Amino acid sequence: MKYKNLFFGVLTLAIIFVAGIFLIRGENTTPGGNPSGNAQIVKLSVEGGRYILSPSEFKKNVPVRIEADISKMPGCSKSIVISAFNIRKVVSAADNLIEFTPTKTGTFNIACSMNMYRGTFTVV
Amino acid sequence: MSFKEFIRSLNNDKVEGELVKTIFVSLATSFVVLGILYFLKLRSVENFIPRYGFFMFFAVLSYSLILLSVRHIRAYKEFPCMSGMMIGMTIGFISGFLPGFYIGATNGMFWGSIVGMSFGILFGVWNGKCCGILGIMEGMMAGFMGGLMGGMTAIMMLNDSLRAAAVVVFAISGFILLGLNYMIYTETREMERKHKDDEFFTIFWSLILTVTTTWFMVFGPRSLLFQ
Repeated sequence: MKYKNLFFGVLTLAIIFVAGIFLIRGENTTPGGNPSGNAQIVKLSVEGGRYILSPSEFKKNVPVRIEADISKMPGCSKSIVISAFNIRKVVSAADNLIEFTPTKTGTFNIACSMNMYRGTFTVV
Repeated sequence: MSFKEFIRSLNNDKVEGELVKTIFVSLATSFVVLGILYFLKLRSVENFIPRYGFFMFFAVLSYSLILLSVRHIRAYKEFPCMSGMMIGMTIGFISGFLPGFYIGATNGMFWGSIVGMSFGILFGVWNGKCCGILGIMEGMMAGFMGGLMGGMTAIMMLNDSLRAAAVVVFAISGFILLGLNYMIYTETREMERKHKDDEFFTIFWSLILTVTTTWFMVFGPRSLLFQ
């Protein structure tokens, strides 16, 4: 009986190890593509509990550089998620840039990580 | 009744001697099911492994620990009120919190909470009834609270070391469940075993929980934040 449980214990650890190697891989949350010199510059702020992007219409496949106005972004609004483009970033005074390249058209959501502050932008 | 004796009892031929095998059967079932689903369907899902693999892995580990405790409780069926309430509360909370956390991390707070509360209340009531209505109520309340808290915690951690938090949450839950098993062991020294589940029980529930969680994470509804 002792050896039987030792056998199952070792097998259990082996399964966990093998499955862990296969399943645990980091999600790439790095912005897809670095903006070049002709990036679309966008200002981001918060007004009345909503994200305001100016302009709010981007061109497809042209890099976007969002500059967050930290002075107008309270609390968790600094924790920004654009799930359609796999972007998650906490902006600060030292790093207020979010850079990505929109690769699909449509209207997309931008929200804080708690989904309390929301906004939209369009890619054409 | 020391913890050392409990550890030694994992090698006996009574209820405790079956616990290690239960973890193995549960994990083997879940990972085989996951493997089959992956080769049949999930590999065509964009970014399946990077996006869902981590949370699926910990969900499967969590289910194996929860089913281990469920099987331990079912072997004795009836407990005194205080023990039964602790059983209902612990199982209800953890089986609500963990699925709520993992699904909250991939589908948003609403659906994480819904799934967490459903699992939590189901397991909480099921196991809490070992002492009657007190345990049932305790399991229901703990499942409700755990499910909501799991979904909420995942969303609040989204930009703040979510994956590290998942590991910490799993480790703490694992220790709590280990404590619950030890408590059951100490409370049942004078009791006779009343029920014996075969491995089909573990296989069935591992299958149900893994398939449900996988379907929800990959194809289930999701909140605005994850669309």
